[in-house]
Amino acid sequence: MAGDDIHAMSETLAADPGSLVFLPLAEALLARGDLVRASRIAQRGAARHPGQIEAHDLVARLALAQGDEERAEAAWGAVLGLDPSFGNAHRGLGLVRYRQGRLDEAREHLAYAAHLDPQDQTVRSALDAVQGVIAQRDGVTVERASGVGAGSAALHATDQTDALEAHESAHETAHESADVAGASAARLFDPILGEAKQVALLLDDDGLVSAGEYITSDGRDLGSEIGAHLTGVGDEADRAIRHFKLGKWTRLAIETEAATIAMAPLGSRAVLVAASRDVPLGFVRRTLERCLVVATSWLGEGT
Amino acid sequence: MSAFAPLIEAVTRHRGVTACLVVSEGDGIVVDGTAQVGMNTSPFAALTASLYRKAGKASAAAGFGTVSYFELEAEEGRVLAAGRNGLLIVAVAESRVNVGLLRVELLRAAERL
Repeated sequence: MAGDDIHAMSETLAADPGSLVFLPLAEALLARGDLVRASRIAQRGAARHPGQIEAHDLVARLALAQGDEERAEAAWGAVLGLDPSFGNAHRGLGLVRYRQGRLDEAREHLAYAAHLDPQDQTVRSALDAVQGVIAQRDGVTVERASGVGAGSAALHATDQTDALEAHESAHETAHESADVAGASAARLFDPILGEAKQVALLLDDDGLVSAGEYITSDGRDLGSEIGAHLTGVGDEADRAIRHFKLGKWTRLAIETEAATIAMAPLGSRAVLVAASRDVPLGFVRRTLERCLVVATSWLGEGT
Repeated sequence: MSAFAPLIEAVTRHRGVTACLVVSEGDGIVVDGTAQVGMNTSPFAALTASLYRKAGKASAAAGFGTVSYFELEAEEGRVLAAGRNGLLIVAVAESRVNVGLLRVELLRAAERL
């Protein structure tokens, strides 16, 4: 959209404030990255045309682009008040709820959005992730009962009650296993992972898990899958940064929609910590440092 | 001036940033960017995109969703990247860089990719 078009639409809107030209004008400003002006125009338009669904949707999208989730939720709420089947509002609310960890609500909205637009890959991926996380969350009790991987199960226990229970369980597990932590590879990091929502793994140079574990409630070994995909990352990292003469790689941090992953080399091996997104990155790094110390000691003693 | 020039300028304005590239995530081709004279950015971009893809595959395998930010710390600097819509904005920085600020800048820039 050329600047001339924006100028022309601005003039039209100034001459007739009741005009619906505010919609393409705000969209054009959004496309140009002028979020503040686009948001102001969209909000005025939505206030003047409270029955205009697209106006509220635009207000919501702009609010989200500005990081104001509360305003986005309110605007999409207004959209659904006018048309409960408006797909974009379900899509937006689903993604916001997902980010907030309100998984059941996220699943409802995303499932509806996916039903309306099966080709929307973003919605599809988010829905798959939410369903996976919910399956894990609901499996916390089963895992705790079997005494396996309490710390691992806690990673995605985003519901407050589940998180608290998982936290307590992880502490119990840590205390119970403190005496054997050095001897049990799978539970090597349990005493460190007393806090809920974190898992830690020691990967060998083939990407195989040497210590720690991440087993889901349905028995899936996510540790091995993560390790397999991250095999060779260290070599590639060193090759990449060699071009800028930055020396050897020392830490890697990856932020995803649902988790933060921190990784560090340990000789030819690597230690990896994954934590729920609501665990601060600094805390994840601190956990990684402690896991490195434990792994170094264990490798000296155990292998 | 390319569409990415304002994003690159905003990133390179940070003290300690030595290069900023917009890279295609799929094949690692440099779309736009700026770096010190003599730096061969093409192999670096290809390897960084490859690392980002690996991170994405690991994340997807674990059900963590898509990767939004990636940071590689090295002995004498850092590589930071944020991606969206098949593009990455990658910054190379010295160790002294304010990582928190640069991270926010990259995430903000990625929103506009």
